[in-house]
Amino acid sequence: MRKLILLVACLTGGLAMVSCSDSSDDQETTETKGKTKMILAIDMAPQASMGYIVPVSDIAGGSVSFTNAHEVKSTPYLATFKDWVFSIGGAADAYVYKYIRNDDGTLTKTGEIQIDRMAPMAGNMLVVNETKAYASAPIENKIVIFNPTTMERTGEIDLADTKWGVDGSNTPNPIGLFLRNDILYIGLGQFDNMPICKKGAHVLLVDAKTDKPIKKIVDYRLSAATIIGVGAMFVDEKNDLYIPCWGSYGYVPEQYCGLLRIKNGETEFDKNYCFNLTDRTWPGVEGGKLQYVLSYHYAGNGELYFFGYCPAFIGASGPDYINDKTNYSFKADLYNCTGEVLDFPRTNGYSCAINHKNNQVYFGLVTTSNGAGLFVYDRNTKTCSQSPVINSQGTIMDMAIY
Amino acid sequence: MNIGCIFSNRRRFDSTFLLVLLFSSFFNLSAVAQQILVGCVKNSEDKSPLIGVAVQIEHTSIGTITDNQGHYELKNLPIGKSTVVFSCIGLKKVTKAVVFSESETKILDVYMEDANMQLDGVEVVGIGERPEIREVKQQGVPVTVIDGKMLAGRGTSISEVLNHQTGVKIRQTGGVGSQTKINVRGLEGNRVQIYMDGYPLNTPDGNFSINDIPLQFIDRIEIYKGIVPPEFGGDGLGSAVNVVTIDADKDFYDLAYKIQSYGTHEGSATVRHFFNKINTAMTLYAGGTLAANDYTIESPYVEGLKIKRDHDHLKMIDYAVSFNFMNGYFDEAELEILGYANRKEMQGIETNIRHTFNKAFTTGGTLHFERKSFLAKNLDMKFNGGYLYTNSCLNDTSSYVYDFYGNKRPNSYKGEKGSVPNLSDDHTHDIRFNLNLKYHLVPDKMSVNLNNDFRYVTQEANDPEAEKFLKKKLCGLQSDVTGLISSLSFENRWFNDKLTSVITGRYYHFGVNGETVDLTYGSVSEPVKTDRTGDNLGYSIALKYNLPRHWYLKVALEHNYRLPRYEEILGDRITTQVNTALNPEMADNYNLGMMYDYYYNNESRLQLEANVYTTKVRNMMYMLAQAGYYKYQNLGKALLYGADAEVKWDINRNWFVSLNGSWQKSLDYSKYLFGTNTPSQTYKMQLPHIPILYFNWMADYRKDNLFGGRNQYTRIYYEGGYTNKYYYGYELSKNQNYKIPGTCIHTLGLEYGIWKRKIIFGAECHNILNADEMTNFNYPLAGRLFSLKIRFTSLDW
Repeated sequence: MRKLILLVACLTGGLAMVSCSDSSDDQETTETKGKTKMILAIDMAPQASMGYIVPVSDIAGGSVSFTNAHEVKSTPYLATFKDWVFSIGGAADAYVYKYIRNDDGTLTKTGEIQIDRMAPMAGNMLVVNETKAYASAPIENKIVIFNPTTMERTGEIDLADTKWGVDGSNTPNPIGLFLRNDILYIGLGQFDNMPICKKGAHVLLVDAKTDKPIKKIVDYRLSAATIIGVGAMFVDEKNDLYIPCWGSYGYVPEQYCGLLRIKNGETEFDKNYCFNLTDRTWPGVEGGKLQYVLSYHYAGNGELYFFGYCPAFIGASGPDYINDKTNYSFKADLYNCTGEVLDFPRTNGYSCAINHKNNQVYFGLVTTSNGAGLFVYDRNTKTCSQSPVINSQGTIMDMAIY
Repeated sequence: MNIGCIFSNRRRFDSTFLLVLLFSSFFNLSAVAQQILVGCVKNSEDKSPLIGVAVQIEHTSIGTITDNQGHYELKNLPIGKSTVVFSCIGLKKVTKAVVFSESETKILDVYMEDANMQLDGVEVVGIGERPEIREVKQQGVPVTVIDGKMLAGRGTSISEVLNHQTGVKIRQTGGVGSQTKINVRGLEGNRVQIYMDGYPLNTPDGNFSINDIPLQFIDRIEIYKGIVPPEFGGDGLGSAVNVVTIDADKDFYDLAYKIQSYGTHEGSATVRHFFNKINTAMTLYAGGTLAANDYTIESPYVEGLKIKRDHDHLKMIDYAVSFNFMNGYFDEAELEILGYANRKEMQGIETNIRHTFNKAFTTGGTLHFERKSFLAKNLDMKFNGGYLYTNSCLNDTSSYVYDFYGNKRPNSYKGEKGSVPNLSDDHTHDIRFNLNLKYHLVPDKMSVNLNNDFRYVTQEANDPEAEKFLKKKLCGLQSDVTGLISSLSFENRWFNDKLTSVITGRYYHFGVNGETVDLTYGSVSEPVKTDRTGDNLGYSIALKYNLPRHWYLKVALEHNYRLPRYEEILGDRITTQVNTALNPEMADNYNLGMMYDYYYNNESRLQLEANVYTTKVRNMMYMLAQAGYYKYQNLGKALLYGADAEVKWDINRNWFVSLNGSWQKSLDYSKYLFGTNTPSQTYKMQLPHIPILYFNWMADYRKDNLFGGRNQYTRIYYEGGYTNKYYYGYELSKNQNYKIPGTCIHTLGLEYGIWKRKIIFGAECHNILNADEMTNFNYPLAGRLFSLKIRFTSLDW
């Protein structure tokens, strides 16, 4: 399983989408005075084979201090709920760790829970309320239900059934989670030959009141729905649900990446919407094509930000997702399905952290000659910083901003 | 009677697996006339033969040790007058002059007197050091030598022995047959060369481990720290372990059996016979190991979960047949046929692996020639050649995955180790030779040494399961790696032999040629041809100066390279990716050492040694995990420095104590994050996962006839070791909890020999307090281990 774990972490880590619970605009936080304003999930490769959850005390600038950081496995991701911060093992660790934001700007680890017992993997998690949360176990093919207060397992949804697989397979590989209108949407990996997935975007709908599966839906315009890491799916102001698809990294010609939609009140894919990011030519991109798309961040008003992987920059000795600077940063119009390359230096294949605070959109970049850390896109002036506003180490995989 | 000379010298017995060498096409066994000195050394008082007396032609390397009848024989003596020195601890030194005017054989019998020691009976225990060990220690390079005679009855492994030495730490992932890395002064893995009798010890597939060498056949272990003498042809970053196996000059048999906790059984049988009519000695060896390794550990991943290691079985057998041809043109000529096979299950700790295993089979032959005055009077020659064939297989095709609670689930793919099924069938051919020519420009004063080390490895890789799954060509892949290391060194003695200097220049060449495959998804399905070569130059200087009053000063520096290994460049087509752009690692080593060696009261000895060192490494190779695979990459610089010291006190002929300590800092010396201009916060910080501070101590009691009677030998020993905690990551946070905890391990052992140690019983308890022990992050070791060993042997002591 290790290969799978690492593969998913390293490659698709980038696909991890910063969920609403991470963004700054809709946090249900308590009093924040003295508490950390930003939390980074950092992978330390190539310096070390591990990662950190780092509370950042000064968002205004300087360098990230690791003094109060907590060690985690490689390629960590974040989820937040009020003052709770969860580190999700993603494709490197079967655990979800819980921390609490302290008034002195630090984090205290208060609990942990093992999600996948068959592999060191915790695909995604979703907090419903103080007593109920879901997490996906992609290899065990289960949704684990647990109490996020006590971090104790309270139930599970077994998905190892040919009804949810493809072509007789009973391994649907649950990954992304999103709760809307009492329906839990679960993106299914349908792994064929990781990271190759079976064709199509497969999503399972579960009744969140009974935790019983309702049905599986599939759309073949894009492939590989949701990725390991943070929740991946998101809703806009109209409560329309968008499902990111990573298209098996573009390795299969007929599989595309991009976004599909399930409109508010519907339980089927919107046949009128498909934001295909693979099958188009991007001005400003070397060679014009993206092989696949990394992290998305929806900032409201139809503004979508993401990273795109450009194969033109793969090194001579083969892909090196830590050191090759393959990724462009993009801004897109979610509704009109258009987009442009932002004027940031390129970053590595691990980079997947995007978030915003007011009009500042933060990108975690590792660049060749412009430094490493958080760069900023100003939504007012439409300008991109050319050096980090906060310097960091390693690759920022995810971030939460308060 | 004398003490300390109890071990008779034995002609070389290459026990099992000299994994090296190229076949040469000729044997020339014809005799050549020469000057020979023979004789017998006896005690002047009772006229009994003296065993183990060093007989040396002064100012030459010609020497030997008396056998168990007190006989000696020296060949190739120079024409003219020579001085023969007879010496042994506990005996007064005797010096005799001999003159040879032509090719002839002379007889010189000598009587030696006891030194002023009040000895009580015939002791087979006591102080003293064999000349070959002393000779190794007297080099300019920092070296620790372990006398194999002290290991003869121990039921332990080589790694456990090494783990108690100055500047050495052993890192293991589990029990018998697990991955073992030797860390010397902060460098480990392929950066530390392992030799057996001076030749690189590694099967092409890495299956054979230093722990597979039976302890009873070890004459000595030499640990070179920082700088390696030029006659070792291999590369490395300046540290090496050389295991020298015993020689035997008569017929013998040896049977040994060991049983150890957690289902470990080891046995070996050896017989050697001299066929005088054809001047040939034949040695047959067979050995094997069965290990269940079924100890229980606390899961480092799941709190409260106990894991019974039940998929960690090892089966291993090995054999060797060797022929030594004597009295021919060569002083030593040996042919050896060997084989090795194992099957090793894979134990999971983070996940429950139930089916995956590796198996390997190796066979081949080696050839060894050695002659003084080869082609020219002052030219000495050593040649080793060998061919090895290895077939290795990883079997990982499970359709299910398992947890530690007894549950089984369908596997999304096949295989437990990764997400790709493997059923590999790799065929590797390894051809090597090492040729060493030493020319004495001015006998005993100046010599020049040419060493040539060559290795060619060709492999055909096949994995039909992975090929079918990945839809890439993974069968019939052919690749070759060539390595050539040539060195030229000058050895000089100055100021009445007070100063010894060795200056060496080295040339490194490596080449990679053949088909490689990129396992990453999206890469082309067909193999890519690779043809790459590289050349580097290195050098070293080693000085030793004999100071007054038993002090010695050692100074050494070295600029050297470690060539990328086969698997590092080409990957394993399973989990390790290809990186044909990999460059050699480069190191600059500096060492300053002081030694003190003083015999007193005729039965006591005090030894002190201290070294300080620094090493700067560039182009360090790291194995990185990314995109589901591993890949070796050159990432940066490291600065290593530290100090180590040891005191050994042979209190009297029965009591021996020692204490050593090592402090080694290994710093990240890359100013910027790799491939960027971003300053690194870990610059000058301790590199992760490397021990920093450790101590070892030992008390040893040896006594003959402790319980009365005759011809008995008893040894009781205690060893302790403390390793301070170290971290898995950089010490960036005050919340560091990824660490290898500090451990203090105590070992107690007993050796008891009867019938002049023809039968030896050994009992040992490792980690008697059952302390938690871990040398790799999240790989708990077994804890307390008991072992019992019995050995029947006709070898002399």
